[in-house]
Amino acid sequence: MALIRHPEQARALDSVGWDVTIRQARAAGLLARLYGLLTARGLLDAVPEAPRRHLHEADVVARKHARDVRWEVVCIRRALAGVVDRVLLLKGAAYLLADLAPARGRVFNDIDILVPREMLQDVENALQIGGWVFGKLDPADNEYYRRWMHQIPPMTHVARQTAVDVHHTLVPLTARPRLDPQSLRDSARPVPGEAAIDVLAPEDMVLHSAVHLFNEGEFGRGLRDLCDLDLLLRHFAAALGFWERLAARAVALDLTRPLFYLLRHAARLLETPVPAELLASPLGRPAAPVLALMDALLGQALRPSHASCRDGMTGVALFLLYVRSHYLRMPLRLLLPHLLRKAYTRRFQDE
Amino acid sequence: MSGIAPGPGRWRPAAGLLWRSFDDELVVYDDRSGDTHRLTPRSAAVFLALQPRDPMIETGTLDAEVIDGLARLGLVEPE
Amino acid sequence: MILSSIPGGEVARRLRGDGLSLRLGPFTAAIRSPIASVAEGIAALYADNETLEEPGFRDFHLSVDASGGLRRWVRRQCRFDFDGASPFKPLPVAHALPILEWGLNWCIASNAHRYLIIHAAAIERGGRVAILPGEPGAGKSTLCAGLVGSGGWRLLSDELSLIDMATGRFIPLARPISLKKESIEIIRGFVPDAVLSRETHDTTKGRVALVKATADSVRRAGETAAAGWIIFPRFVPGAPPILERQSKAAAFIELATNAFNYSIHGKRGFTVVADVVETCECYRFTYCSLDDAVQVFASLALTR
Repeated sequence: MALIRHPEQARALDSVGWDVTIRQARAAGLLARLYGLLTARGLLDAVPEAPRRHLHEADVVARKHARDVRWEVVCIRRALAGVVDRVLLLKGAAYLLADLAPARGRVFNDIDILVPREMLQDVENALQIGGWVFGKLDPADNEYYRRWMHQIPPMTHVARQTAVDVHHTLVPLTARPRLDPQSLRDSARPVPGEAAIDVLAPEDMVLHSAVHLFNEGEFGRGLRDLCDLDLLLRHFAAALGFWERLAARAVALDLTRPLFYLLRHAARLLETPVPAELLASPLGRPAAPVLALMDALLGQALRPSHASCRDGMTGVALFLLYVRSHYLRMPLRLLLPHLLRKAYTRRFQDE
Repeated sequence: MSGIAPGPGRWRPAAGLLWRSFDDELVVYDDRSGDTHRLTPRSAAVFLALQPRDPMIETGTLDAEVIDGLARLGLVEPE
Repeated sequence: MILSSIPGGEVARRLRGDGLSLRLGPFTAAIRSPIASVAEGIAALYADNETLEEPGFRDFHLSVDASGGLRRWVRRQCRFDFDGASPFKPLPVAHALPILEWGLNWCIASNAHRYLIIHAAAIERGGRVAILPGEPGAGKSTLCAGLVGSGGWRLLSDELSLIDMATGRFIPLARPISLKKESIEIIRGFVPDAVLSRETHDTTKGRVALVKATADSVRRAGETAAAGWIIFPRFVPGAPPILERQSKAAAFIELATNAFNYSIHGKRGFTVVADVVETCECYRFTYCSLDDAVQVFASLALTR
């Protein structure tokens, strides 16, 4: 995966090297990203024809995906006209509409929007009228979402089979960092050229993605998410004073810990140009033994999920991170019954 | 996607469309939604009448029922 | 090298080891499997295919592994894998060979977007391709196997018609034809020299057998061809052969609906399908006997 960091190494790869690269990039969901990087540096012609086709095919899919997302956003905006004045997009859809670097070659499965909590019921109703429905959800899961989560259960459009996640804040209600979603909405920015579409301010966007990556236990594609963040940081860092604003905002929102992990691992794995003084600062740094453990776990989890670079540790590391991220979200008294129930239903379904 | 009132007025084809005639039928591709539509000869005739916009054509004189259908598919929009 | 020139033991050894690399039409695949029925099936069905002897890039790395239960001979299952992804749940190990074939179809259909990929048979004669899309049960594969085996047509593909997005030409795949139920006996009778795999019973599609692509089709897998006809076949017991014109706009919609990746290609996909439909004569074809079909298709071939 050194190629993501140093695309110019493409020139040195032989046919066997490309064989491994394409397989790893496919497993990590990074084929289209690689296509974008190589194209941007004029290196695509250095790729032999057979692997180049796979890169190109991934780009075809990514562009189709971008069209779908744009259309879906139009449909959501139309459905919510009259309920909310503006639609605030999060994550993948925000990157895409705001034309930010991580959108290039990124495929994601749902559109995330942030609405005021007091508008939830109206938004839900309007989406249902527009053809979005809740999937099959047992009452306990529904209850779990409604009471503890930062979003309502995902809704899927009956005809297009596209999913929308309606958030009312960025972290679960039980999570230890609590934050005020109103301040996020207040700093949101309009998307140029799009009617009534907003995205989070740059610092908030980075912090949200960091929370999502390091607190939510979805590490299957962790490396890809970290690459997204790397691109975001490089992009935003071009603006004067970005790093200072980022650090200040993390303090204001009580998100210094995820920011610490993000900067540390982005700098380590992807050579993200984080200012040295920020890396060395005590901001969000955990105690030394915790830090050593997390370094080991995250180092494992952030590898591409392909057999050629997976060893016995990765499964354990992923499991521990899954547990850790639940612990961050829920008080312990809630955590154990939930995990037990999850394990039980899973086993039941297997039989 | 309702809310587009049918009836007389001036209409224009929506942006981002590709189409191809086969005999007197038409297949239209809408790049925004990704949908592909097959238009019957009656609809095809109306759709094509709106195409190279002749400012002298008062589109209100065209088949209103068809225009309503095309508008519902998102293939024509009011000017 | 041609696979048939490699001893069966060596084929099985490669499948158990680093993988057997084969050229499959425009693709290369490295296949691994420790299962004996897979080795036997590949040796028979891909006998005329070229192997790749040097290490290097392969389009697809696939495997069908046996996952033993506690007691290996009870409920042994197999699992298809394409770089960590699989479209199927584990299935009985006896289904390994058809699973490999279906898995390979899935790899191509979900990745090879350098082509417009239509779920249809494609056969060629005189440089023109007849595209045969078909609902399950329409008799597409039987018709295809009959016309290729005894009708003078060349097999491009039974399941996946590949149209080059850049040139609009049809690309041969020349892989085995998958037959179901009574079609197996019909083809055994109609094409006496057909090479068939062992039958697999009780698959999700019932009883299936695979027919080897003719040596001529495999040898000419590098020869592309132009679109000629779009023919929607329908098998109706006792019916006389009827070929009737089909509206081109309707054929367009059916072709696009049967394409795995039409929507992925957006505008370009529309243009490629429109060009193919424009060039083609479009028909519905009702038939009940392969003898009739061979005749109708032969006279069709003379018209272009």
